[in-house]
Amino acid sequence: MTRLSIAIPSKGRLKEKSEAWLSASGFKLRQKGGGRGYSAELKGLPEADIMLLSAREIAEELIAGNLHIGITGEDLLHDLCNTFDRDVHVMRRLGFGGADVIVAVPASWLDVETMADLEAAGALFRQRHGRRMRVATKYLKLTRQFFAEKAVGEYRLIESPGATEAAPAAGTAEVIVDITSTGSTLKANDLKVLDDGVILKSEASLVGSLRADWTPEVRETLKVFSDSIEATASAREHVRIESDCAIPDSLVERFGLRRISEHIALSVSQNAISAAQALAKVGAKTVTIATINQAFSSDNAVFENFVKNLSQSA
Amino acid sequence: MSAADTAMTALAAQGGEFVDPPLLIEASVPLELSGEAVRSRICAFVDGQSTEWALRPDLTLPVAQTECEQRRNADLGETFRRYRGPVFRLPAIEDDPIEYEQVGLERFGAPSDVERDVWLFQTLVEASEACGVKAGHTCFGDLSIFPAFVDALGFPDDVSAGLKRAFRQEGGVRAYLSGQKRNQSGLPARVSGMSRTEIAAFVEDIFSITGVRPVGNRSAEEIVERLHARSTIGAGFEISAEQSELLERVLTLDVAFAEAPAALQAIAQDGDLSGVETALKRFGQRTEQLLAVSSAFTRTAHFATRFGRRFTYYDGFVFEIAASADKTAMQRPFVAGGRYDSLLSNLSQGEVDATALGGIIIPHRVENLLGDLS
Repeated sequence: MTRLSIAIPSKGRLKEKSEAWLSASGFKLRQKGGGRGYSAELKGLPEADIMLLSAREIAEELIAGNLHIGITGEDLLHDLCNTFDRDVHVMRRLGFGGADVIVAVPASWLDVETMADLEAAGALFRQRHGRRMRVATKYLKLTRQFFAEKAVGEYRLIESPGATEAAPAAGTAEVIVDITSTGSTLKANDLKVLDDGVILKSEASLVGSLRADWTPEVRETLKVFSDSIEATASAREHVRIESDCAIPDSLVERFGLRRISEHIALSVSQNAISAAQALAKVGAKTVTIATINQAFSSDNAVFENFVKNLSQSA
Repeated sequence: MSAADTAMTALAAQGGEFVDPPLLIEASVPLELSGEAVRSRICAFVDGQSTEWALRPDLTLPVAQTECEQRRNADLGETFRRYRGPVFRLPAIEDDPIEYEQVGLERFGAPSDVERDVWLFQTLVEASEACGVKAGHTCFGDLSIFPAFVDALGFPDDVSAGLKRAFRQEGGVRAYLSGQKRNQSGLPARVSGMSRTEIAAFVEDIFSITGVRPVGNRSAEEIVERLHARSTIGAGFEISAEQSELLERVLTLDVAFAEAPAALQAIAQDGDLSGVETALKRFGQRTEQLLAVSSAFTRTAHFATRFGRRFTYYDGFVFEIAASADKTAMQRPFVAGGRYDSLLSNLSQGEVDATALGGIIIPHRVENLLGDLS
């Protein structure tokens, strides 16, 4: 493999947000065959192959090492990985697609507020019904691990690929383990999350495969991609300060500024106004603060960490 | 003669009837009996009607199922079944075979006593000796010991039942003890001391105010029943630090087999407990008789209270024999057995009730062992 393969979610809000996120770093997605095609290219990164896949497929392919990097949910990675730390590396959480994998029961279960309550209710359920309480989920491994951690054994899993929240009312399961972002679907289905029932807090993430074939050319392409991504991320946290008097070293140190020239520096956004006021005190007549699009740096810790992890897991 | 043939002959000398149960069982049988913990070990598949099937993970289950069927219609008294055949388990250790043979026996309806427990161990030791294995390292357990101590502590029923279930889960007892405080707040605690009728009215009130109604398979009555069971614990109840410590000592006891009766006795005395005498007396007698069976198999023997709790349907005496105390050897025992008096009842939704004990010898491990020795 000499080309970097990148997978992006193929539909829905996750796709829209991913596209917007890439384009903020100068990588514009162009789908082949119009909006319905499943291959695409990134303007600004001709050395990469772009694939549009479901978030689950992206997770599976990253774990298998068939993709170099991709955008997917941590929930899926945790459910599908046998050895998370040796399979994948989360390079950056993207700040969207946030959702929790949770344990929920019918709101009418006034006796069940915690996993320990669920265990006891499950034991009674088994006595009354002659079978174990059913837990519907698509997260089979996560559920098994979490229930074992909480020492809850009184249940059986039912695999549910979709519309899991409807299972309790339909009678196909009593309990669900599902992903929720706002909780509104749970409420609409008269379900409640248990007090200690958050299994995982998940977010859309840029993930690198530790199992893929990382040739020097591919690493170089990743570096180009990652530098721009990190420059955008850094720009979100910084503003540019320009002063008509030279910025003294004492203020650079005091406010943790990154000096660009005698008159210009980058500041962490929340320090900028204090820094400007301090500059006025040492003689500046005009100080401007401006937002920036990207701040490239010769250090890219995210890339370095990934490469380090790659060599350790090799 | 192969090890399997020799073992069969040795078991047949004890009497009993040879049975050949089906290879396939419904996957729900082991899953309902043992929960999701066994999922990772069973070879299961789904048919066209969405019924999940499993290749038998042992012969005890299909033999016990047949026994249940026969006992539904007739009082069979004591029965003794022998078998030989393949079982199927996804290996816990890499390179172990998925399919291998077991030779074993099951006794149903016999008195649940020390004499039968010892007979089972002796029979399997003699079968091993007949195959040429003259010594082994045995690990003994007794899954009724921890519950006996829980009962003797005189907790409210709901707490006792919870602790006994917790015992069967890895880390369960500790989780249960540390969850005590948290459970004192919230709605379940608010109904403390109410009668069942009062709780039912309270629940009905909440339902009418919030508009929430019970859905699916769990009724309002079951919710009331559970709240009531919780309420009988009493608001101020707490397992004391001394009681927690005592339970922890029982749970983690792991000693030379010969020292186990005295060690358990000492814990009972330190806690000034009454009510464990019967269980400890039986345990002491059994230990003494087992030690007399064969010093080559009990000289290095070990006892652990927790041993055997992963054999989910076992509920009393339990043991495994391996080549040595070495960890990898202990993962591949060549003999295992014990008591599961509640198995038939659990398999038949309480319709059939008969005691059960049984054990197996694993011929390919015996042969590997003999190969290593020669």
